[in-house]
Amino acid sequence: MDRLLCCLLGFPEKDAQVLRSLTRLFRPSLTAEWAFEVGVTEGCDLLICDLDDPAGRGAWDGAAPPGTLRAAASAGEVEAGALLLRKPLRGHGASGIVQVLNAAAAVKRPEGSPSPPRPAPAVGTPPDRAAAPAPHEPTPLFRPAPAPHEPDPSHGTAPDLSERASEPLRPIPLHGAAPPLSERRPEPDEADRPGDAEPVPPGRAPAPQEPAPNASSLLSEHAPDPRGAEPPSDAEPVLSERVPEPHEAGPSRDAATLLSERVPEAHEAGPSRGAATLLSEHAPDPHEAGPSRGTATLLSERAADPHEAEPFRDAATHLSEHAPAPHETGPTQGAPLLLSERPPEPRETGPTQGAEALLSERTPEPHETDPDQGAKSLLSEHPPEPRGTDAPQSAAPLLSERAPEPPATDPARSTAPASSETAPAALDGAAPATAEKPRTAADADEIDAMLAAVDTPPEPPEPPRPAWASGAPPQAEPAQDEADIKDILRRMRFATIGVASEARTLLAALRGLRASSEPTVVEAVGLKPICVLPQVRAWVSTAQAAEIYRWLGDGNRPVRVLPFGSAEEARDAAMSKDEPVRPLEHLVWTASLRTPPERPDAYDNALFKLKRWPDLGSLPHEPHHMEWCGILTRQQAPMQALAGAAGVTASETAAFLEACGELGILERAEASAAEMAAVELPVISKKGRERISLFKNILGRLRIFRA
Amino acid sequence: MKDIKLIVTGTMGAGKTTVVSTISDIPPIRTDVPISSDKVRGEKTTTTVALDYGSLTLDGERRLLIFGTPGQRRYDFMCRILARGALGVVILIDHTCEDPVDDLRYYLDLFRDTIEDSTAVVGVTHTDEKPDAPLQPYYDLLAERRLPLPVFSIDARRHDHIIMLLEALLATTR
Repeated sequence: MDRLLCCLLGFPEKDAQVLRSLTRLFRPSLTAEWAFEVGVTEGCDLLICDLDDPAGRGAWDGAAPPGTLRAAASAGEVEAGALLLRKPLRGHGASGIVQVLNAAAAVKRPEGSPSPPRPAPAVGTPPDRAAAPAPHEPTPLFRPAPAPHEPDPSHGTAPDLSERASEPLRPIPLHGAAPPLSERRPEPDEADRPGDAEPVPPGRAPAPQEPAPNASSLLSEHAPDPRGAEPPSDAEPVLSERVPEPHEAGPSRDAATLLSERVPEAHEAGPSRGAATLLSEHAPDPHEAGPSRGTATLLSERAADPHEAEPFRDAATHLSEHAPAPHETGPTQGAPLLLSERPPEPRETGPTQGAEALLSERTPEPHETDPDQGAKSLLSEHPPEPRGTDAPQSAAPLLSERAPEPPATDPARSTAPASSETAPAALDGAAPATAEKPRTAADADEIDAMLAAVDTPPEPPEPPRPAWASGAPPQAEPAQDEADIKDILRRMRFATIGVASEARTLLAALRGLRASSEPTVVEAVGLKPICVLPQVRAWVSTAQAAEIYRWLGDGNRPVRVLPFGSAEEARDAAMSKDEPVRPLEHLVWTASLRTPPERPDAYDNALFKLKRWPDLGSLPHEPHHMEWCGILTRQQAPMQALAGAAGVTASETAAFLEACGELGILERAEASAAEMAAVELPVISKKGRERISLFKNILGRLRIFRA
Repeated sequence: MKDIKLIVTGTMGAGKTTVVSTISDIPPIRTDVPISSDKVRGEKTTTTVALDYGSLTLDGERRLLIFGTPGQRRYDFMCRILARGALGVVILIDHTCEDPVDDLRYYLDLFRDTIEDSTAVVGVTHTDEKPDAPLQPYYDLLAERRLPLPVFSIDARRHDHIIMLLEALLATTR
């Protein structure tokens, strides 16, 4: 594989680190080995200028070094030509690192030379999805370079370049130890590279063996082939096919544009697809190239498949789902763990990217971490080192399922939370706030605690104790949400519906409707809706009086009062259009019997008598109510005497008197205590007592006989 | 064995025979004959020409005799004989009659002595067939006669309503 040098100009240190890490991560998808240096150095094959930085912008606007391919990196929309690295940095995609580096490598590769053989994938991994790029014309994909005699304005324009050049930074080798730059073989065609840019003809359909002069075809050739085979000769570039405008160059178009133009096929490499798009289009297959998918997407789409290289998951996600299987390969540990394999650099920090950066496919190399090792084993191989060697440390948080830590000043710690919270920040190039701090025993203890958390996941919180288990009486509360939904639906259906209100009790609601002329629906939890027609002193409902009586017996609960402008709509709302109307006094009697009077003492100093019997044939009642009616229809009696005769409470007796008062059959006469004490209940003759005995006997026989 | 009488009276078709059948623990003796007149009330095709008889054994010494009086007024002489010494009178009024209040008035007069001596209860049947007609007229009549008798809307076919009528008789016994 060719070894090429990429120089970064104007890149923040964090972005540079991200770029190095992504390149290392997507190494199987690359067609060349890339080394990175900050600043323009001799033998630079590809110069990436960060247009968001003044130095990078200045270098870009100036003349390119002779024989140097240039690419731009920016977070915004820029006219950068074909080679554009979109920020936040991503692995795959039209403006991803892989695409840009492969395109540059294709340009640098000598004309007609076959594609370098790709390393065989490890056992158990999916087929290599990186398509072998076809030989093509080394068409420069950059802006016009200045004439050879002109000085290269890019040299020395960045004041910090020399400083950076003097920093003890070494390019990250993609395989094993980093070879010095001097050992890198110069490209034979470096001096022969044409300096003029040619327009990119869109829509061209290059064949694998044909030169692909435009960037679109170049990028499409380097896009991972999910089928693991050479693209068919008549295959049109995935990206260029979608270019409707002639001036658009494929690589410069971002994923959103592509997605908006066409629906990718299942077999296509899905560059820069958003998670939602992927989910909506098809279920993912293991062999699909699914770059840049979000962790959540992947987790939701499929369970862990052992034979898959799990490139989409960060270590924390992976570990949270299942323990690494022996045959699982390196990518499951995530980038921080991979970095732990190599000697750490002094100023080097672990990959600052979070989960999103790790979300890419890659075929693990055989020389990578031992598949038999789980993440924790890898961690144990690389104990925490004092400074700058935070790969193990950064790996540890990834191993745990703990909540992501806030971005710490420690650049190594900034890699720790492999969560989406910090991942975008990492990819966006947020530099660590401060330099690394020395590790202490507390750090080691923290790591141990994190490791322990892996073994002992936190216990799930106890579910709330149900009400029925508490032993306390159930709190009857109106189902406000359900009532609100009902109101909304009713308002859509009924035109005359009014504003709902709430009454403390059913009796209070009925009393409030006395002066009303509006048909009203009264409803409550556990109670069938009741339509009250005040103007005709009637009520209608599918519920019988006995049902309402029982409902009230469970506790006097608040009710909702919903007025209507139409009796027909009110009955319809109460689902009682076909029910017979009943006298309202029956409902009032029922509610009164179950509602203790607000002032029971108002019945203390009075004698009561009934004008007539209530219609107990249609009114719910208790046996002692019959007895009270028999007494009160014949004589006056105080409340206390009635309560004593039946053996019930004064409140219940007062409620009965209140109910009789609601029917209008109660007579009240104020009396003194002496007058009340003189009352004897009931006055029964001897003959009467014999008949009472007979009746009780008859009733007893009838109940037994008919039971 | 000492027998106790209970009278079930009222208008034709009010449900007297049904009440007797409900209370009696022996197959009641019925003296129904097909209605020969052109005036057929509802689905009723027979009428009592004498009386209905049933009994309920209370204990080894006492027995309740239940008599259902004929509804046609030409048999009123029988009612006065039957009602002598009765424990109570159950007056059943068909709410759908042309003039149920007058019917009630008639029976109140017919059994006045028994009612004054013992007690009575008024059961208004078929109220579901005439829901708009309230029971207030009955109340007014009883108030006029100063008779604090219970007036219940019942279904003669329901056992619990029959029990309720007897409970009302118990509650009004003095």
